[in-house]
Amino acid sequence: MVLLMIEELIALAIGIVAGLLGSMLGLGGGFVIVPMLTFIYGVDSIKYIIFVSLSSIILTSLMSTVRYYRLGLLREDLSAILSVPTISGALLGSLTIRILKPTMISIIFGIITLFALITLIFRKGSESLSISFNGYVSRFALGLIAVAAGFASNLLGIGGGLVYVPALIFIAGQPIKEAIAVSVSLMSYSAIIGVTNGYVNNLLMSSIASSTALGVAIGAYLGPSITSKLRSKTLKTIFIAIAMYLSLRMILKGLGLHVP
Amino acid sequence: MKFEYFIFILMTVLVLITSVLRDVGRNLFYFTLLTLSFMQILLIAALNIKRKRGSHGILTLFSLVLVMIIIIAMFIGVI
Repeated sequence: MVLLMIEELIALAIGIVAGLLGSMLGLGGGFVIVPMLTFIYGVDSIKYIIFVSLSSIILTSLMSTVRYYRLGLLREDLSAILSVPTISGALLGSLTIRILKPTMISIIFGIITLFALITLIFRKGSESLSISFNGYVSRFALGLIAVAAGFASNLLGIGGGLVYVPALIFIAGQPIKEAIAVSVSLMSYSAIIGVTNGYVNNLLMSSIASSTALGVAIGAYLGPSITSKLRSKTLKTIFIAIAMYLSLRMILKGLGLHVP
Repeated sequence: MKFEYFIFILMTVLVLITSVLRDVGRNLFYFTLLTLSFMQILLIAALNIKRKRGSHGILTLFSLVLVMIIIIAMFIGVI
């Protein structure tokens, strides 16, 4: 019983860190939760961990959608248009995760995280780079990207913001805050399909998932007020260094190599 | 009461239930997440209809139905 409580407290702490970093860096919780829990439970448990991450994404998505709505930043029409392709991608991701081996998922996650971290390092004022496509081409491209985001979300336990946000900025010409608002509102469509997949296949660790979700909610709520008092550049550097180590570790572990 | 506080209280109760009553907690946790996500989709549909974008509202409701069909299919083992 005591050991179980310790597990849940660790999950709560990881959730708080994920929520804080997510609100500070604009990344979803998945990029923090999955590598950290994989570090604790091992690569073989990655499928369970993905469903823990998706559970917390539902909560983050709901709370952020309500917050962005209150701020008047939510574009509900874009959210409606992109919902169907997101669901299609999520379904494909749910079917794929069943057949892939945990080691393969670990390698894919590690590579995607490394890519995300590199874009985080080089991210600059992106609104000036906006490309204007004509109507049908841009809608088709956005639809394909939403399919990819839904797929990545359910396969890797991430929100998909890494895919949605640049697409909404570059293709739909949305300002960054509106793009983030649409992105978080779409996450719950794919996450609930993923969580159901975990639930019906008995892969949902509900005690860890609920603790992590509570932690993420607390972290995301306290994030803006705490991070404004901290030196965000230093924190960002520390986070990137740790996340790079964790993602490289996931790749090497996936390849069957011994890593400390 | 602020919406965020409602979520915190709800999740704290769920953490306590899932850590004590594993099976009941698991079911309760899943169906809470299901309800919350459906609420969010309905919120987006309502906002679209409120802002006189009826077609987008219907599209959002269609998405909700699609999600429901996928979930039912997963439960009965079709996919």
